Amino acid sequence: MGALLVVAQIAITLAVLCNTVSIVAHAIAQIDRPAGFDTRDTS
Amino acid sequence: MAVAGLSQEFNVASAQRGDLGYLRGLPGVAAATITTGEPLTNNGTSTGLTHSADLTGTAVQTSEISLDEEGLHTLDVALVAGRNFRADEITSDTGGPQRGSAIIVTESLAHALFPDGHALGATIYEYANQPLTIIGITRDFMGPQLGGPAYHVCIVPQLPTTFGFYHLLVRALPGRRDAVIRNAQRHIASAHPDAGVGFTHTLADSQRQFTAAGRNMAFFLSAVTALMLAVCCLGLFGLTAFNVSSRTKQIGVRRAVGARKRDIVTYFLSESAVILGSGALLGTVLALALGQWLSDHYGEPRLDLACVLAGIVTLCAIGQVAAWHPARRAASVPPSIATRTV
Repeated sequence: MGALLVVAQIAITLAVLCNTVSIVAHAIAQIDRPAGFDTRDTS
Repeated sequence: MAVAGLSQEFNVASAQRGDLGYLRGLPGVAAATITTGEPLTNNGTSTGLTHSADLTGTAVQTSEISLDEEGLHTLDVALVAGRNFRADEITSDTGGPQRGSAIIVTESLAHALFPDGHALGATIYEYANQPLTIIGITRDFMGPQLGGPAYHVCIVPQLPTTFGFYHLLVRALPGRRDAVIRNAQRHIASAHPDAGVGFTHTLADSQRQFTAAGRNMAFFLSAVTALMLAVCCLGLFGLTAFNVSSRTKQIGVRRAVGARKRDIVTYFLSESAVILGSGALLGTVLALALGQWLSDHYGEPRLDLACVLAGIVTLCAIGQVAAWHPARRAASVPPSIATRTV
């Protein structure tokens, strides 16, 4: 019984882990794209 | 800077003329223009463009901004082909979506519409009766819409007058920004007693806001996942420790009949490997289902199989490390335990 619960826990963790890595990698890639024009603060 | 008319009498066209006249004469201003959507704000219009008048075929999604002939100069975006709008091409959008026939597109959008590279001078359609001619191509820059294809931007030669609402876009000379903002804010606010004038901000502010949202999301998502991973290891650790303590006598017997310490460690580690393996198998199915659901409902990119593989390897490695400690404790059970009755 205990082993089954741990199996379920591992399965859910893996599902979330994979999707997080994918989403975060995509988000970081989007953030790092250049805006295409000068956004430096020149005060 | 946003200006929104608050009364019926507010004359947008004359307000715009007045604002532009003032801003272009203000010392420290390199260029000024009026637009519907500020870049990098995630606030703006998006549209679809197609090749044919009957609108068959897939529409290419793009954000759309209206600028006058000073627009490109203000954004400091260079043309790579074609030409800029002429002053006489700038129309008012009063009376519905009467669009001028000339448009300027970014390189990315031009390539998406015409992969063979014949975008300049070509005709495309936004509405069935509305042919648009591409007169210029600029290098890529981000439009107002940041989700989806951020570099797809289509510029129409218009002054936004229909909704009594417009944004003023100003480029200051180096070192003059703060003074320009102060003067412009004060003048524009007092020039329109019957309009609401929004606070002035810089493109860098908008960019920071947009990237901060993404960074925060990435940080919290990673933190929560790391916590889940830790709890998962704790679960495996607890299960192995429980198994070890409830099988102490059995371990003693195995040791007494000749099992080496490493045989005991291997025994518990292979048990946790079986648990991790079944979890990984079930988890892969769950991960793919979750990924499918996320890309269907939230437009996330499809889950990469390499991600799943990396996840399995990471989880199994960390899981085995978690099970290793109680397994080592099991190996130190002395064979003499076998002779005891409790």
